[in-house]
Amino acid sequence: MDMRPNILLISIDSLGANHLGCYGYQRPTSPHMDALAAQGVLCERLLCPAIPTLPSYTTLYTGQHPITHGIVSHPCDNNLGRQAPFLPWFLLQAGYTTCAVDSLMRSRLWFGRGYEFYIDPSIRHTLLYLAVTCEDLNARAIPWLRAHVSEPFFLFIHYWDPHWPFNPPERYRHLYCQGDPTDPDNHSLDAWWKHPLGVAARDTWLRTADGLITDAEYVTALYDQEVRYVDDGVGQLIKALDELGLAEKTLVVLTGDHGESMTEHGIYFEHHGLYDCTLHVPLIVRWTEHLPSGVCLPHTLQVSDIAPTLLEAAGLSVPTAMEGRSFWRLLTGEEQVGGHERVISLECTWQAKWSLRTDQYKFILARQPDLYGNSPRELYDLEADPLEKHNIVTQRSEIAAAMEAELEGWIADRLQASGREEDPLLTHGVSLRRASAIFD
Amino acid sequence: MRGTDLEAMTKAYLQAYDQRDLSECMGFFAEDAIIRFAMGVYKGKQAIEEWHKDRFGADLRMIRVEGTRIQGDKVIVDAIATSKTAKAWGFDSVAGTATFVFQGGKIKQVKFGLRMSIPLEGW
Repeated sequence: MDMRPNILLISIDSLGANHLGCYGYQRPTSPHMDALAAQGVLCERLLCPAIPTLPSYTTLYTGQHPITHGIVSHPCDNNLGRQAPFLPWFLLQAGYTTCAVDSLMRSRLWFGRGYEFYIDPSIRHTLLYLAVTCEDLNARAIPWLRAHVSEPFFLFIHYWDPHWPFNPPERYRHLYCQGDPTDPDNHSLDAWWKHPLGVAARDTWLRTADGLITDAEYVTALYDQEVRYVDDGVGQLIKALDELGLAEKTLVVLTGDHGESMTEHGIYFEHHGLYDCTLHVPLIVRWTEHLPSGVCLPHTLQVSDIAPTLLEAAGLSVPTAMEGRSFWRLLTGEEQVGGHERVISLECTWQAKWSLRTDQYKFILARQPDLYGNSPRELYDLEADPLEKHNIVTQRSEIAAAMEAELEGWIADRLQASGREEDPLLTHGVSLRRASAIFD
Repeated sequence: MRGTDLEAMTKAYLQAYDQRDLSECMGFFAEDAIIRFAMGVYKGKQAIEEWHKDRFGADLRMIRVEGTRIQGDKVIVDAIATSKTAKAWGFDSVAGTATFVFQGGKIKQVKFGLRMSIPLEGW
């Protein structure tokens, strides 16, 4: 009897852990995801080594740090090397039927590697992923599940609803909104009009029949309503899976590629900035009757750990080219010690920055001046200041210097190991800064 | 009004737009007209005037008209357009459709949308 589980990998774009009830959020945005967590294991701290979408998904699939796979920004001209390990390939070769319900392959072809089926309902929308809904995706994914119920399968589904523009269906649009969002005396979004994304939003999805939305809290509520909407989509998919009798045969993994800054750190409704609101994403794992239920794992994990973990769950060996560490035995309870003491992250889309995070501190190093005039070096005491509001780089200069030296040493070692000399953030350059030409 | 009159009115509006003649443009719109621009809604003359000023500022212009159709009180224009904003995001041009709805000799609604041109493919 084949004991390998089916694998259902659900990823929700732009979903920060901090906006889910099971991670402590005050609004009831996530009853279905909360229920899934109660039936399985909730990993308290999954961090992204790379943001935004393309670098993060490449990291998830390859199990490699972005300094290794080389995809550091979105959009970018770099190609993923042919030798890079890729999760669906290994599962396909092991006899799994592989299917993605997703649109990433339209951005870059490597996202189709290893998939026998690639279903992209976003093709029906003019802006592709910006408009495709969880209902569109489920309408394809659920019939596919029914048709492949007797095969060992790996199904990846990528929901986009919480990604901007925040335009939830009308039936969700007033769940968390109060007051007049178009009050011209509300200036809480004024700073956003100085960013190209703010201009794009002001010209399009923030314009309503009642006028221009001016209230930042209202926009946050729109995001939360998108989360509530996609939560219903997740609930519908899990219900279909369970009704097919697949709960005990299927490992369900729910995660995200990056979070979203609401207005934190002056970053309005976007996913740049190496702060925890953007780096900390959910991870919920359920395998009924095989994994414990209602358990929280406190360990620090990385997105690059997911692929090795799924391979181990499937009884497969983890290729040495994958750098992430399987946390499967933490999930099963066979081990209690694991995770990472340090996580190094990068971004190179709107700004070129590295970060080094320990349990207590986060150090951020800018390779180029950022859009907001921030200090090129930031240090936060995450225990005393979990929202990263107070840059203490001056007050704790010795810690900052030590972390900078460690970070630079790590980068240099990794470059040397791969035969390269220059920091990819410098050779690549921030890819979307050109959009600031709007203001020329 | 006959379809040919609506088409002529649409052409006259597009010419006024191309010449950045704001008052001429505004004369084509009903008091309670609506412009739907991507996901945005601009309702009433004040908002519509603001839309025109913003688009003129962004240098939104048609490169060429690819076709015009008349369906009852609607005139549908397929065109290739460009703007400073689109270029800043890396798109030299986009294929769009403008649907004009007329009532009482005035524009009651215009809907600007992208065609099935997958502009974000490969972005």
